[in-house]
Amino acid sequence: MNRLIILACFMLCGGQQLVAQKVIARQGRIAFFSYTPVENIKAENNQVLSIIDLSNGRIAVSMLMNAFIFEKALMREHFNESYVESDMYPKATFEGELLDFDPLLKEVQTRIIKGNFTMHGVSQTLEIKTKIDYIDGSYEVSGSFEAMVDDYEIKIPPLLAGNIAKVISVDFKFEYEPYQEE
Amino acid sequence: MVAVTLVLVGVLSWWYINRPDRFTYANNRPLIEITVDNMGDYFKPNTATTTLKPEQLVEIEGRIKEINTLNNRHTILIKGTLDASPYIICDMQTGQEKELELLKENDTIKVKGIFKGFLKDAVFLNCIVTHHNLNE
Repeated sequence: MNRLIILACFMLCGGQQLVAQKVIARQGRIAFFSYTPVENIKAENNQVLSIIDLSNGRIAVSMLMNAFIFEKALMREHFNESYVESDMYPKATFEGELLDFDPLLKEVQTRIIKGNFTMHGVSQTLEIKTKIDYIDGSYEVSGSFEAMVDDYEIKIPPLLAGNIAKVISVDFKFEYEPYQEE
Repeated sequence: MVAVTLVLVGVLSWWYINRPDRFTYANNRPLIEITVDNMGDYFKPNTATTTLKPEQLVEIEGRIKEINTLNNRHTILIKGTLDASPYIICDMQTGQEKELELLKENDTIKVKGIFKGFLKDAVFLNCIVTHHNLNE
């Protein structure tokens, strides 16, 4: 009986430890696309940081706005200097929660991430449908959403208004690994 | 003469608008040089922002923690004397593949790259390998 109690305690503690851990993605990917008849613009950022606390489903994302890669130098310059003003607003962040996420479920889950996305000094509440995959002991989170340029007070010069879509498509993918806080 | 000038202006304008986003600074002297020994000083919390500015060309000497191809990019993670965060994340320029084939974990290398900022690690883009096998 005592052995059963001890075994039950070990199993309970082991389960709690698994739920309590955090996972980190240092090289998450966020890409955005702007489609217009005049010009298609796409850019990606491959050094997006994200941490998930598996015990409560809290997720945080942070990215450097000047780390987006463009095909053309002029696009990058306009993006950083005129649109997102990355010298004044160097980072975009997201803080939220993976709703109804079960970290013990070792199969694909489709869940909603709800939280606040802050870019160019403006915060918006987002709810994003997300796919969470459990692969080889770690998680892969991916999804997409649309963002209105005007919602983030991004000013497009009238001369270039035709080159930038009012609604931007955003894709993201994060591959997480266990995170040991130092 | 006017026609030639107009054509020249047109060509230059076309080049300026469509120039690819690439960097050629193999022979450029970096503004800052960071080594394995002083890496920790640059990347302690609240110090990186005062010593390194975004868009600065930096040369880093350090040991390879990891080489990966996440997101279909070639990336080197560099560590200092301690194998602990913050690391240096170097997103390599295209054309560095042959250099990367010669590298492995724990090799000491020098890379040049453009500092972009600091998250949990220091992020550098457009990196090129300037020296490898420094520990031989």
